[in-house]
Amino acid sequence: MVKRKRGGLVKLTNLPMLQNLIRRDPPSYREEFILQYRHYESQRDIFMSQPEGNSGETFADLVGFMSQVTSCYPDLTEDFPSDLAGLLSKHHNVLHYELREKLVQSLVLLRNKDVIPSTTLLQTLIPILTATTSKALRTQIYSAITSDLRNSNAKAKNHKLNKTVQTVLFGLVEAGKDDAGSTAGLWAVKLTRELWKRRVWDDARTVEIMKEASLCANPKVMGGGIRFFLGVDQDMEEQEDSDDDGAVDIGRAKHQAGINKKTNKKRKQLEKAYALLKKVKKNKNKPHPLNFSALHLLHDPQGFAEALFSKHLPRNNKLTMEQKLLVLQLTSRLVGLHKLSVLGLYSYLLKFLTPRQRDVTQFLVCCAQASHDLVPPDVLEPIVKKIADEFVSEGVAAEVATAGLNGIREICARAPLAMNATLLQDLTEYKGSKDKGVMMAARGLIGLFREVAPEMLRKKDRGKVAAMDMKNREALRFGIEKEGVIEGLELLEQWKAEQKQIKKAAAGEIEARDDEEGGHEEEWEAEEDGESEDDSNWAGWEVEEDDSGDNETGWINVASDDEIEISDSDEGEDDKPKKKTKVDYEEGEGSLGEVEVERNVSTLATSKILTPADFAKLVELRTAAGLERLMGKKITNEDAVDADAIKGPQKRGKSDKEARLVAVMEGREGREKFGSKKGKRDKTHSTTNKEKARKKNFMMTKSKAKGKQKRSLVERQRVLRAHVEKQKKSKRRG
Amino acid sequence: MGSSAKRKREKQRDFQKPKLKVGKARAKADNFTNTSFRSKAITLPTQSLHTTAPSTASSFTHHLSLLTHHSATTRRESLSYLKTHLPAALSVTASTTPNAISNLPTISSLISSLLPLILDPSASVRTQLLTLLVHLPHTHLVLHTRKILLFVNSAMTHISSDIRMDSTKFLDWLLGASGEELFSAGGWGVCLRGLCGCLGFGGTAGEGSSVIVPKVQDGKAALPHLAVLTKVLEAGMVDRQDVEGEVGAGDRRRRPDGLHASYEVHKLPSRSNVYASLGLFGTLGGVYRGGVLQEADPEDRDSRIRYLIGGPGRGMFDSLVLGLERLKKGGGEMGRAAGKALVVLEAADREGGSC
Repeated sequence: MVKRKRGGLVKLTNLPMLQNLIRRDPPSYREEFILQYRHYESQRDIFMSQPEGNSGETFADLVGFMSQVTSCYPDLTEDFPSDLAGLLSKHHNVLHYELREKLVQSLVLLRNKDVIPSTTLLQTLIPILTATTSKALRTQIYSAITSDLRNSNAKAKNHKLNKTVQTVLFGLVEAGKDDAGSTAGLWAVKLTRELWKRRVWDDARTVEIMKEASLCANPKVMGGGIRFFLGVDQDMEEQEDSDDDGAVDIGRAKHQAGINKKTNKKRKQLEKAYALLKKVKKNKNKPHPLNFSALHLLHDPQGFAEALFSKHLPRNNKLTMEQKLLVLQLTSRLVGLHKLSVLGLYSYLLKFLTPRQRDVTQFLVCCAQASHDLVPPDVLEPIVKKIADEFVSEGVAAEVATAGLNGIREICARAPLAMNATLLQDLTEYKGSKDKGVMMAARGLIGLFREVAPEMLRKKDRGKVAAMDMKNREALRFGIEKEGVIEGLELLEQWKAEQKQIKKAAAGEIEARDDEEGGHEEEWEAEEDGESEDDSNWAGWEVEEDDSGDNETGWINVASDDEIEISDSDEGEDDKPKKKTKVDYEEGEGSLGEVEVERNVSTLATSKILTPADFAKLVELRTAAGLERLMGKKITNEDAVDADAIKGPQKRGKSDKEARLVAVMEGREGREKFGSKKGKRDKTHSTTNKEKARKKNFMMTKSKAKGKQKRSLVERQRVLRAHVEKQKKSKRRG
Repeated sequence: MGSSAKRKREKQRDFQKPKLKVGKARAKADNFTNTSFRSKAITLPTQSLHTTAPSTASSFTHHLSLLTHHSATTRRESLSYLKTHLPAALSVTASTTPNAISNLPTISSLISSLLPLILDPSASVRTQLLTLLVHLPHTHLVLHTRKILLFVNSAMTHISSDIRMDSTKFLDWLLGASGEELFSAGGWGVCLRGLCGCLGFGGTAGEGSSVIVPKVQDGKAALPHLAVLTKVLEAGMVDRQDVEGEVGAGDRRRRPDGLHASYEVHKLPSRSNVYASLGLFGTLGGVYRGGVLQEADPEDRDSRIRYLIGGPGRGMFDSLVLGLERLKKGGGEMGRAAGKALVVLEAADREGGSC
């Protein structure tokens, strides 16, 4: 490359100037760069002879300069990154804070310019993160690490890098596992949590780090790990919500572009804003990539739960009550979700179930979470009994009784066998309580048992539906799992059959009309005709199917393809299943009616793939039949038990005026839209033309008003027309 | 309007005569000061009065601290104060008591606060510093040559050409102060490279073709550089004993003091930190390059010559020779100076080639 002429022999006097020149034309300024690199080296040596204390401003400047231009001369500056890294990792505790900051910045810059790989950067920074005593440095490094990991995972997951970093973090956590004093794992936990929250990491390896952390002896590290499992998914959702708020304000950008000086830069900014908006809109409709909850990604939940229980909850452990509760929550959550058996947990919980216990609702929640249908009833029975004895008796406060009844209900909803009839009947006596909470809780219990075991209730409590249903209900027995059935499937089937009937009837009518009136409405019939022929074809095929269906090679596959396609649209749905069920009807004709119905149901689910449209219809039909209402909300072990559900409705009571006002204002939050807008401005702005006109001195507007009166008829007409037009337009827009 | 009327009234008020009333004290003026109090003593908390002047030691530390002042004039003034008072004070106490007891600044603290001024942006400060350094006693300076060389090298590569220009003056002073001991603690290669840079002989990276000869108007600037280069080369590579004449040439087996001829080899080393190149205690640079030991800096005359002729400094040697020859061809004062330097280099080349 030809050396460029320097404009008027500019004397190089400062680094920014040289940096600018080098950026434009690296080969021509090689000599100057070499000189400066040597200067850097000498400055570095000077600095190294006394690294403590002094701010080394010139050195910091040189480092900044070097990191900016080093990518232009990769052959000359091989040592530079390792120099910086060495300097930082050796002396980070004695360096001046400004220089330290500069060094980290430069390393990140080098990474962004792709001079050093991510692994080098992270391997330099992560040890410093745990070792340094400076808070500012930690924050800087923390944000540098997270942003680097986010960037390198932005387009596609960088598995290799993730693996390395995760291994390093795992090592950090594991190193301080048995040492109650070491907090080295704390930063690993924080980093992992952040990256999980941002969906950068979502694999089992990440969960493994957190699992290790929650088994740490240090209560802080342990707490971090456990909180991750308990709360990170909610965090993630909140994070997404807040991300949405950060969208660009296109209206504002457009307005700015309109009033400010028009430059190329501004134009580009606007274009960029548009592009971003488009992208955001596109992304909004995109389905989320599959995200397994951290609890589901655990390799060995049983082992984990046992380790948690035995490590953190022996009798002589010195954890505080909050920490114990955390451990209990996670353990019970695991037990409930994966249906584990940690039998020691129940007797441990038993001790805390007294009304005087602090945070007793949390313990009740834990009890409920830990109970599932595979826990032996004789383990759960004492818990229910103790709750009933301690909480639900004469002479306790209404709130206590509410909490007890609700707690029992939540346990029994998950493990109904924990209850016996006499106790239940005692408890249901409270349905006549004067306190609303107690009454509701008792009714909830009745409602639950109507569904699961009405025979345990008193006769008058059973209700009509449950009593009628009792005949064909088997008694509850431990260890027998209900077969998976899709509720309301028979309704769907029935509906489909009806639809078919209607279709057939319509087709028959048309055919009949055809026969009568001849073919004089051919155009209109063309499509109908096709369909009816189709139908008849199906009918023919149905008859033949038993003997010849299998012989037709390959055609069955085509038909099944067809079916999936069809069932996406509404009218198409009914074509296929009716045929299949017909066949089944024919097969099972000889057997009993009940059995036939049973088989009927199972074949619909097994012979056909139910589409989302089918499920939507199913839900619709179920609601129509009132089944949903009868069944109440389905209980799954996926979610944590809500503590509010156990507390019951809280009475506000006669608190002081301030508290009442606060409650009132709370109710009014988010309703600004409905209030008066008078005197409120959305954002600061200068006075509008309207405001100016309103404030203008009357004398000054007088002449203009006079002018209005002097308008000619034509003029007046035109003005009025224009006004009407404008009104219409504005109405349409608003 | 309303507001303007109000303002008018306010303006008017300044010119109204205050009404005086019989039997009432006059209104006090705005700048009235109450002087009615009495006191036995007046204390001024901010002023400190000494019967004696500040001690010389404290004034030295004060002026040393002023060396980092942001104003160039202050820095220069402090330097000139130090120049006039420090050498005398040092020469009085140095022989009798150690500096630590006499409260005078130690040489190391003095050096560490003075040296950064080699890179000072102001020319007057630099010249003042040079005069101060010249006036300082040269004792114990040898211990600090390494550090001084670092700063001189830094100045030789500085982005500002003025500082680069002055850098060789400091090098010249250092040569005068420590003589041939200068490069015994390393810094030979770096120093030569710096001088090459000052003279504009490029191609340190081995491409001898890209030698830039300084232009004619740079001649004045290059002349002192050339002189210093010659001195450096002499200090580094010319054998003192050669200059003084052969001492023990006649009887190699026996020395005049009756010791064995190879005594020098086996005696305890006279230099400090002989095994610095092994990096046992961490190099001064402190940074290892990928686990590889740094190239040992040549410490005695032979290794210096070897470094230049057959070692890693060969490219530098070539560019030096090439550049000097060009200058010599150019003739004039520059040519003569270049010739002198060239003579030393050629002698070294002969010696290096022979051994």
